[in-house]
Amino acid sequence: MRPRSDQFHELSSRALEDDSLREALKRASSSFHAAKTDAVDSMPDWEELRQRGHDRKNRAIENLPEALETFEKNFRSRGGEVHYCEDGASARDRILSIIRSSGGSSVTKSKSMVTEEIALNDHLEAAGLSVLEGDLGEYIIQLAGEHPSHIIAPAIHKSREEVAQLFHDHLGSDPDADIPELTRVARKTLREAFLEADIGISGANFVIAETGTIVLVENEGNIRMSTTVPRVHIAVVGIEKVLPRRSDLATLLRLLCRSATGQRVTSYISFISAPRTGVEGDGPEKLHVVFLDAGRSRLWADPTQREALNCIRCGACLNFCPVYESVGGHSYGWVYPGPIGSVITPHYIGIEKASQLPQASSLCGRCGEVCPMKIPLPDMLLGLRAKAVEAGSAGFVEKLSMRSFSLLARSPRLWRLLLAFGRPFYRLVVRAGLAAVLGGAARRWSRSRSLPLPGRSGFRRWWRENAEKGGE
Amino acid sequence: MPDDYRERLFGFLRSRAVGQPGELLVEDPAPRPSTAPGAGDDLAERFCSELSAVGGEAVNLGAVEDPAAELGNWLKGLGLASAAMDSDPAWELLALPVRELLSSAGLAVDSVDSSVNPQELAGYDLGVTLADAAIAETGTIAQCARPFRPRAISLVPRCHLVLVPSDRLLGGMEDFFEGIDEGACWATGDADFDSYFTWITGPSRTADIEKTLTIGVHGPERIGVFLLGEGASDG
Repeated sequence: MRPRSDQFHELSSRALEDDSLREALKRASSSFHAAKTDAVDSMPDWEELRQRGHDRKNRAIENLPEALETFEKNFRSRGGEVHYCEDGASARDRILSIIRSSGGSSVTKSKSMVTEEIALNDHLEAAGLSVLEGDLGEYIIQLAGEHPSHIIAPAIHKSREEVAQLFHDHLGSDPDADIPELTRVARKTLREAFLEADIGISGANFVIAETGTIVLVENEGNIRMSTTVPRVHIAVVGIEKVLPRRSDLATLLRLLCRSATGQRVTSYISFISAPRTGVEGDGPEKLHVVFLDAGRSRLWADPTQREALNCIRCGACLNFCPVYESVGGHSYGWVYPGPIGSVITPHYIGIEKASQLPQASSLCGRCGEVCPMKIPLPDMLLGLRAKAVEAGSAGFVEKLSMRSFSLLARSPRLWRLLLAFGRPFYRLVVRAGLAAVLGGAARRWSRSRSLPLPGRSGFRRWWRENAEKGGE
Repeated sequence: MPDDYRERLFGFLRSRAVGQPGELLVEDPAPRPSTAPGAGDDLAERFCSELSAVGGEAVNLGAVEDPAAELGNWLKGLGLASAAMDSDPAWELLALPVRELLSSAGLAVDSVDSSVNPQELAGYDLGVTLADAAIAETGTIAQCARPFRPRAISLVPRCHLVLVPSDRLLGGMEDFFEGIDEGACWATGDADFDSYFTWITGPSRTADIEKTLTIGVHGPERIGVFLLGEGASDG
């Protein structure tokens, strides 16, 4: 997918004017909030669980070369093949060559952000293969020719009416179909494709070093279809997805399922360590893991940002982010939206192409609080803002105002002087409306904001008068 | 195609290694969270309430007077025509005449083994299997790679019937993972958890359109799990 993260301002402004999008986002976030809050409230030791999840995942990330090598050794010993790809282009080529050498022509896919990242579908279709998304949300997005707007609910921005129209146009179903009927239509169409498919492509929620296992978490059964029926299963996996031991899954699955959908566990979780065994009649004959780097090792090498690789893609930071809730996933211009997207996108596509994303946050801190892996997202966003400025993203006006603020804040005398003279002027500006006084950039800024009217006297004076009274 | 990137990647990662050598796989036993069933908890009751909460149907046959009638009535209520039953040798050890109950409920029953493919299985209304393990904490059943049970039997038929021998009902997730690691009785023999296994918790579901829960998208729309009482099987 071609990044458009440098257009965050334009994309988000447009999103803010889209009423049906805003309604969809509001509906989704309140449903996500309720589910996650329930799931966490019913787990008294949630904080201990988060700490343990963080520690176990961190163990693998800190020992990444050993973790990958251990996975590879164990996975190969049972007949799977492992590939390493530096970037999207080499991963696409590698996957295509695996498919070519197996002689298949039809592919079913399960939802995978990594394959979005490397724009796999376009590449395979251009090579003449048929590619069908199996997850209902992804299938809707594929029919619409769009991209997912949420990590775990890709079609969250679409209303029932839009989906009914889309299915009517492509599949000839009733244009007024309700949600159960739409689901039946998708089941029927996709069922035929699943049973015919030669190749199944999935992502992975985790891979386990100790046992060489791919772990896939889902509710619909489409991943089980794609990994059971076709002769070949290819899992495309970011190099950061590895966990040390199989027993770590008790903790990580609790954290993931509760944070993502509020479930205790999802309907299906597959643990795949080998192609079909000699005595089995189904399951893939060939099993491949394609590890993708594409910026991850660069991020890993930065100790201040490394913990972003602990992300388990639950989507909680999106669901609780006031910015995401207002502008939706497409505004972020690439694959990963929300706070985690604002942190990792600059690393994966380059800070110069995504310097606006770390600004797409009010730094309210909610993302850091809800993250099941305790990733310090607000700190990382601040760190990236600093990097973006170093990389030259700040304009003359921004630099000048920050320098002046810095000078004032370090000099109490100057600060007091400015307050004494500035207060009456500031009150005047607020009364008159910022735009009327300053015009230009201020008009843009003040269109959606209102300044509070400051009091007649300041805190310092109040303190002088009241400090003596103490604690009243 | 030569895997030239592997060497470069590992070279780069090693040059900046941060962990301690050998610490990756050091044992670190997980403490049980308070939500996992503890000693003295009624596992069958917990299993049934967890599975029911997510839309599955669960019955503890150990607590009913006439298990055969209970299962028979559930089967009749499905109103289905055909069933594929796996060829687990353990069926012969059960006191409960499952095959006869399927037939008396009007189902045409075929025994299937590993030679049946998913396309054929898709023609059946009901898949009939035994669980290799069950987890009370979440209402989950676990099934691994077995010579006599196709992977798709729990996936492509519209409904799924699962029976759980009492010695395979476990408390929490930790008990499951430790059981595999330590070679518990349910995880040995031709039960191959090291190649493949799946957890199934309730029916197939989606909320991809307007976050509205809809049951039965790609997998079964109904799953009935019957816990066998002690003495219902020889092991």
